Amino acid sequence: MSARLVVIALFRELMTHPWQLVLTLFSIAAGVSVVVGVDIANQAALGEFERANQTIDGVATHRIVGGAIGIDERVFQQIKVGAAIREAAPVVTAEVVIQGKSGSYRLLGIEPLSDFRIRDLQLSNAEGPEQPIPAWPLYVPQELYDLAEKSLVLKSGRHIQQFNIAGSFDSDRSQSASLSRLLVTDIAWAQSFLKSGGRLSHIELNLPEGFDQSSLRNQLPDSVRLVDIGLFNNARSDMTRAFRINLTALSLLALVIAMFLIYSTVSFQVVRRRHLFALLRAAGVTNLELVLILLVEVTVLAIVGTSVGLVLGSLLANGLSAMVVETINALYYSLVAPTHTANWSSIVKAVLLGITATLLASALPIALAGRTTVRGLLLRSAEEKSARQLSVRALVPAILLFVSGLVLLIVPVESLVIAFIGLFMLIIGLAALTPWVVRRLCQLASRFGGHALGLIPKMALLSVGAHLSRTSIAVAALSVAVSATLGVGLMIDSFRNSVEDWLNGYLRSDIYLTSESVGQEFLSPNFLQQIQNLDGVAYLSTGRRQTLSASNVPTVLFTLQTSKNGFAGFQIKKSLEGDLWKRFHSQEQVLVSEPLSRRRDLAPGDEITLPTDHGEIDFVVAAVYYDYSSDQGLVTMDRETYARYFNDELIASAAIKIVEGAKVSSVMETIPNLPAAPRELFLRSNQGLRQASLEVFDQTFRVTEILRWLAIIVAIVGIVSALVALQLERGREYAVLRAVGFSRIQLGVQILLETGMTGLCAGLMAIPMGVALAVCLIKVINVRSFGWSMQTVIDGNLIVQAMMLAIVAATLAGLYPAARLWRTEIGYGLRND
Amino acid sequence: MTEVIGLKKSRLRVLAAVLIVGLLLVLIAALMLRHLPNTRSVAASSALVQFLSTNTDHDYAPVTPGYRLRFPIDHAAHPEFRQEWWYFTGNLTGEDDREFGFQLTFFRFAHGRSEQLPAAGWNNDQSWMAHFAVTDVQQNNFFAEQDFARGALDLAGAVADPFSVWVNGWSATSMLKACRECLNVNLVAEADEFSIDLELKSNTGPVLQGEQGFSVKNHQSDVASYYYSYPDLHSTGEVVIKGQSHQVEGTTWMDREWSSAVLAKGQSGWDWFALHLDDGRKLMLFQVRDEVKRNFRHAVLIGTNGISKQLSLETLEMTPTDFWTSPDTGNRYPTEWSIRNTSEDNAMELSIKPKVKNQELNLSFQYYEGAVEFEGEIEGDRITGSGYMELTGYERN
Repeated sequence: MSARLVVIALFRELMTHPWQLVLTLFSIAAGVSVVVGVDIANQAALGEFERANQTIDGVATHRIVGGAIGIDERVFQQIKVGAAIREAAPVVTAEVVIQGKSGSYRLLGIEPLSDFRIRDLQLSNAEGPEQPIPAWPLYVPQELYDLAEKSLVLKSGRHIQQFNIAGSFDSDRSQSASLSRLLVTDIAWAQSFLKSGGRLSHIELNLPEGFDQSSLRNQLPDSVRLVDIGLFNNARSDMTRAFRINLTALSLLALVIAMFLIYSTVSFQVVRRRHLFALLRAAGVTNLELVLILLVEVTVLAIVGTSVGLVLGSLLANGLSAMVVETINALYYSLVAPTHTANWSSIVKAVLLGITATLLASALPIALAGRTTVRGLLLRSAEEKSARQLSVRALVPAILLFVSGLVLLIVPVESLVIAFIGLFMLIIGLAALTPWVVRRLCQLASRFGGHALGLIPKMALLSVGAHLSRTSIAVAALSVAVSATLGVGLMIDSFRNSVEDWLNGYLRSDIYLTSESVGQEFLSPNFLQQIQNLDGVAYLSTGRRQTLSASNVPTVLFTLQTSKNGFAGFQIKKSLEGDLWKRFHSQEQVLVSEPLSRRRDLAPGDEITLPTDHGEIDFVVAAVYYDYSSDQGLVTMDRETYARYFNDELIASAAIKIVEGAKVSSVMETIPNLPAAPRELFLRSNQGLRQASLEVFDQTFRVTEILRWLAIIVAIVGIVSALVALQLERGREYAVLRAVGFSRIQLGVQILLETGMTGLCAGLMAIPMGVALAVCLIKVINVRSFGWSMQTVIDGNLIVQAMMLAIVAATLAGLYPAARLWRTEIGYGLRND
Repeated sequence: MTEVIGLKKSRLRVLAAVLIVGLLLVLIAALMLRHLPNTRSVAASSALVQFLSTNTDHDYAPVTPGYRLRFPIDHAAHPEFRQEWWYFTGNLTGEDDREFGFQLTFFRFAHGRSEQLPAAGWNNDQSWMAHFAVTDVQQNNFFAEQDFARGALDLAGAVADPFSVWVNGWSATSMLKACRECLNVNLVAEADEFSIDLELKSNTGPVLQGEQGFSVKNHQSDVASYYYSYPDLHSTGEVVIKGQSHQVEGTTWMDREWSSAVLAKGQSGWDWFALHLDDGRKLMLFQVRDEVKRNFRHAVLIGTNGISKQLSLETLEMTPTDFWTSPDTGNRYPTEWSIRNTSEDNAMELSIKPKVKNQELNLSFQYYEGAVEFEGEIEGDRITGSGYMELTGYERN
């Protein structure tokens, strides 16, 4: 028999069931697309971060930064003239909004005669190069320029100014989306607009390699610091690392589920074609030849499926990128969603993953097909036997995998990747146990409940166990997917609970106000005094958050002036002995939040170095406290301590405690009308702030939710198709049953019961898996990713939902075969096998 | 049965179509990938040139005859005039007779300041530019760099007593209180590949060009500048090229000029020469080229005592004898010249050529400023020497 004929025979057979082919392709494509989508979205966000830095930082290698209000502009003269550093540029910058346009923009005030050494902005003048530049000139990105507006009103905090569009800058070359949010003006106008005469936001330097930095540092005043931009940006990009790894892990979970499906569909096709294989073997085709042909077939499927997956993935990436960037925006730093997405590394990775996963998943069924004898192939029972054997033989490796996964999770290393590997081993181990557990469950159920259940349910139960070769893997896939939703759901729920508890304890005041929306506007002492004097106001706490560039790592410093009662809102994890309030208030000691203590390995009694206006100072850590407001962590310092080390009296936020009996709403209404109130003020009641915080929380988990549902969809399609295929294959069996007197209704019920039972088994398996997953996510993954510890809360509702999901998905799968059975005549069913 | 097969075939076709479309989409996605271009060019951006040439309709102080130059006060900047420069060019010789040329120039430009902002801080109406070049004759090498600064925050400026002019880290600074007429300055400039550190000492007082420093640039005498020179500054110090230091000695020419207009209508540029004769005399001559009318010329011979004498312009001929085209810009410069004075008084015939062919400054402005050597005859005596030649207005467009 020629190879060509064999191939044609196999291909024809394959094509008689094209929807199965489509299903295999779908499984591959679905798995690949989720991985590609997430990878592209991650890369795009990272790439945009780098491009934005490249464009906005130019070739700068270092930055001279100061405290709260920037640096004295005379430092620039010392740099340029005194230290004769040629590649240096002063910058005055602020986040601004344009009146009538949404979103925020970055206003960059530059000095063109030095700036060209750092950035290549290519400003071009609207009126031509020889024409005078208008007052309040503004250079805008091309898209904005094309709107042909003459002027724009910019707002930053309380500052409002109409700028005249003087020209555009070339944003074409460097494809950074963030450039579309950049506005450029001359430094003199920027200072005037922001009322920051005499001060710079920072100075950018391009220092050659091997430059003597210590001598430069010695020439600079104590209040400013030299920061390595590369290190600084690395630290910033590292902030999102854990977030990105989490997304990647979720996408790989989708791929694992897809692999189960690929395995399931490929083995189904092998099983279904057993007659043909037997015929071919009988006609002289060797096992090896058969295996090779099947391998080629699967590889072709893998390539096609992966290609489709790539296309779907890049479509998915568009939506995901925006969401990833949105989350990064909410949690870390401002970034504009990039428009440009695909990249070679993502594509190559996805192609390799798609093909490898398909081949891996198909290896076992193909090997089994190649091993069986002609006689064995012709026997359905042999196949079920081997499936049974396999489910038993898989027991030991499954348990081993499960245990080693557990060990990897428990090992006290800080690696997130190792934790995820452990988690995957745990899941796959549990999934591999599924066939055995399902068989056992069905046996037990039919043994103990068989009589009570009646004939049809008992038949259904036995049938589930008997057709395990076809269904077990789909069941395992469904279990994994359901457990993933359950686990992630439980984790988010626990997380939310902890955040809520924390907010309840932490938010002790009645009204919160801040002026920090866009730009840096601060609350004036006058205004704060006026609030203090209001009727009904008992106490005023004030705060200010700022980012210090401590030894090239950004550290958030929270400065707080509060009462002893307000201080009691801190939920202390660990502290030095003695009165903590006293330590904090009078001994110049600081508190650090839990994530920071993890990141920097700080315990009470340790010291943390902070750059102050009097040089670098070591502060003793008095306590570590719970805080869910920042995964980078923060240092909290008493305002009086702060005043001794920083020449900065700015206050950005305040919290008001109301006298008992006074009305919160009436105080809230009075505040904006106080004479010294800033133009823009954000007031929130305790309740409102709590709400807003939880909204931010929910928003950050939107991507996770989406991925969770993608995994579920993949699994549902898998289980539905596997069960439909199985039921359709049994047309003759049902016809025989009809012929011996079973009614359509009875058989329909049997089908639905059977598929529903399969779902029930999957759901039952998913519960312990899901809870285990949740515990791992909470105790290991989250702690390593973000440094937050939280209480595990197991919500019964979520478990019930997960069960329902599994059962409903599987029962749905029975609807089509049942309906088909309804329509089919017995004779046709008997003939048409 | 045929129906069933037909159905399957159509399904197959749909499947095939889906796959083909999918593959095509992948292909398109792949083609859409573009690589990031390298974003930075070192050339000054258009905004920069723009900044240096704004507000031509602003009122600047006029240059009028009869003004008496004062020293050292006039060493300082005159911000009410549109432009001004401090121009140092010199030929230097190292220990091993290795020859170098250098140019260090500080330019000041005034442009309108916005009246809507207080005249403080960065809202300054003065821009400064400095050009720094070194010629390494033996290695046939030429280096040039530029720097800029706004006249704010003392990033750049010029003060009289003690005299100092600087743009960022490049400077010409006198440590001593200036004597009325003499000039002692320390020139310091450092670029990436080359630097100088020179002590200059004047042998003579300033030479006032034109009519007591009032130097006209056209036949109508309506374009003029205030112009004086220190033609003979004895120079010692160090030239560093690519990390290699050379102790040098030589002679530097300093030109000081300020005005509110450079060229009259129709004038396209100038050719300027400052020559040190080996007998100790100095010769300065220039022509402002005119596209329609006669070129405007000026020539002065300065004796060893510092006393200058204008040459008769009727008999002076300045003729290019060879041209050089810049490979960088495509500009074509007349780099070799024949100078003839046919009058009996100060009869001369000189042929001038550059020490290194490529001495074009391709910076925010393109011009040729290079060390030259010459030989010839003055009043029958054989003469040689070296100097500097400046050729402007040869940009191709």
